[in-house]
Amino acid sequence: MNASTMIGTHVDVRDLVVEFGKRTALDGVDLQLDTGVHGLLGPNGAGKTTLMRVLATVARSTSGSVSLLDHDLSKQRDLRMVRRRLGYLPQQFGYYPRFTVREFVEYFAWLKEMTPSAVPLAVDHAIERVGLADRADDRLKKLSGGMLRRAGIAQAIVNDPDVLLLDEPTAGLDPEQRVEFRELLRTIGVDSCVLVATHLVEDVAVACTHVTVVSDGRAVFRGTPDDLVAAGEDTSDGDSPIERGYTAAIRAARKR
Amino acid sequence: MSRLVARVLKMELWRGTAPVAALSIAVAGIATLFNMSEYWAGRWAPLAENLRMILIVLVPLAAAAGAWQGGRERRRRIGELLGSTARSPWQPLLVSWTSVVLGTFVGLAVTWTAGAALVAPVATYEGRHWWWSVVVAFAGLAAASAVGLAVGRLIPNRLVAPILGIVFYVVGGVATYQSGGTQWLMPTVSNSRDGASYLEPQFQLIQITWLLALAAAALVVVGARRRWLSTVPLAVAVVAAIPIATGPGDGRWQPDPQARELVCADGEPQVCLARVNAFVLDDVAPKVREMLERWEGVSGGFERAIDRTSLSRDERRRAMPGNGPQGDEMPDGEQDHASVTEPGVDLERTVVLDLDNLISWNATLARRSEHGKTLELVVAEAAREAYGCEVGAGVPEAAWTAMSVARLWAAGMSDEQPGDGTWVSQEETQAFEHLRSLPEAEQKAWMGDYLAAARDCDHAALTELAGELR
Ligand SMILES: Nc1ncnc2c1ncn2[C@@H]1O[C@H](COP(=O)(O)OP(=O)(O)OP(=O)(O)O)[C@@H](O)[C@H]1O
Ligand SMILES: [Mg+2]
Repeated sequence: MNASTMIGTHVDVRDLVVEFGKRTALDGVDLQLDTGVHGLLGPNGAGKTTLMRVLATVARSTSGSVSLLDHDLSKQRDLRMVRRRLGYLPQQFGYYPRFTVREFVEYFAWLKEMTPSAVPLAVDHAIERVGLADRADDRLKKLSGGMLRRAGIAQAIVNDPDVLLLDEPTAGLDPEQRVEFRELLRTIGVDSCVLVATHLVEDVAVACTHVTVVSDGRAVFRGTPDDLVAAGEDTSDGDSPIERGYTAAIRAARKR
Repeated sequence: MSRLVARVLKMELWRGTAPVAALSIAVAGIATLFNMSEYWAGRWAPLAENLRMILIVLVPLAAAAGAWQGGRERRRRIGELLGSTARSPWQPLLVSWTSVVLGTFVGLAVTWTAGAALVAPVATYEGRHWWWSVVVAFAGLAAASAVGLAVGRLIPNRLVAPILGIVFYVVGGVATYQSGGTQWLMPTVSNSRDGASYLEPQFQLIQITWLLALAAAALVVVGARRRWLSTVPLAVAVVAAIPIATGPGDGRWQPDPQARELVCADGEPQVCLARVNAFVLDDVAPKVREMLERWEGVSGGFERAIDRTSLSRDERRRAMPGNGPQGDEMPDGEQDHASVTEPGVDLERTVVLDLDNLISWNATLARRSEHGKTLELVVAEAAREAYGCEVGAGVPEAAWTAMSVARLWAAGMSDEQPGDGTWVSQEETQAFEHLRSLPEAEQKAWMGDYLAAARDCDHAALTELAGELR
């Protein structure tokens, strides 16, 4: 059951608009993602989290169409199918402090309707993958901030999701953990679609196969990390080639 | 239930509100139950009745525990994560509620078991249908925790749990003051029936239906995507509530003839207790007999003692005319039961034993109740209860004196105060001292004259008798 069963497009977003009252968080986003690790960059308030929440089936779109794994999210019946194949780490990660790491991950395995017999192994595997094996029986409230984030990642990947949505997963991780985490992303990205929203441009350069930059609710750049580097060849703002590319993409969008 | 669900339930049991609920209910339950152990020690049905009474504290605790559990998802800001998962929300809700319910059940079971440990070794009557009462208590906690869970989900505030607890406490308190059927909508009962009455199982089944349907309605409101589905259990709850609320109040209690059956100690004079109280008969009988001996040679003196619990309303009135109907009124609608004494028995010469408060936690006879009552005073009370007129404003001072002296004599008091809250005046003490200074035959003659005058309600004779002792 671990193998991806997906052949078509993992994420297909067309002309997505999300409004909160008068504020428009997403203003006509188009996005097609397949297997691989996709970076999502953009300034504060650009709409990254909003996009993640729509894809995670917890926020509603105002207009436009969103389909995941060839299921239309507006259909209640399809939601359940999609959710079983979904992994999600919210930016504001909530958890039950009295649960142990193992219990927390197992609880989510249950919520994701995994085959019961597969759960114990999957839980151990997920905890191992985020490097928490030695803390598996500690209560969450006893973990450090970075470990907590990793426990959050473990619950997201426990069901070997076909679509994995991670909203600022590397915030609070130490350098060594970040290196291991990028490695983990690459492994998962081989047969799943991973979307990582982050402010750490370096992570994107190293771990991602594709990059999307959003600004003011619009996707203003889509391409590979190399494409983004190329876009920044004319500017000098930024300390690394990819930062320069990011800055250039944002500036170009604002001029329009 | 799959093993995975069992593991999830176990997590909730250990990590949720359940342990706190179990502990607080067990502690509060045992504290309140054992604080009034004299009302149930040695008796099964009164144990169940008192378990229902202490629900006035336990139901609010269950509701608060439910509300706290219900607010957890919001407090922990985990709704976002839960919303992205496939399982229908009613399932985690049900597991969550089950954990709280099991917690409250453990607390109540511990409380009941602690009580049962004091009852089982000594009980002389197995009781009638009382375990239905225990089931209603459990259903009450289930309903309270479900309503609490729903309210905790719906109202986004940490104070919901304590406030809901207070609300339930107040509602429970108000319910116990209702005389009509509405009191039965709460699982709490307002007073113990000393095991001499019982509730019909059919009625308690209706109560259980009402409580569980209410629980189901509360859970469906917050758990189901289609909230209107809650109208189904709600309709069941209403259908069950109607006969409860419109039915009788205290009249729901049925007299239990077996519990009231007389069990008499071997030998003479006759000392009999109700079967439900018979476990203290061996303690009571020798002491009462010793006191009855005093009346030998007193004309019209008392010659037997019978448990008040056994006597019908009519028998009590005949045995204690002075207590009159005003002192021994049957609550509205409650049925009287059959006489237990033989037709020939002279109830006038019968001491009515009121053992209320006189049974200690270890199911033996208490030397003195917390209100200062003793068995001696209870038996001696018969001398005063012989007074056959309406006790009220028209009773002359001298009649009071005569009654008081007679009681002190019957109790075999010396010059100390009774210590049960009644106060003996200087004048009464002097009159009593006078009586005691007389030769025994004269003392008994005076007592005989007193009994005759008191039973006839002859105020002139009582005044004269009091005058003799001045
Ligand atoms: N629940 C909400 N109600 C009202 N406005 C919202 C809500 N959520 C987001 N917004 C608005 O939508 C816009 C996009 O917010 P979003 O959280 O998607 O940005 P972001 O790209 O994730 O930013 P950051 O990098 O700071 O996390 C912002 O202007 C924000 O104020
Ligand atoms: Mg964000």
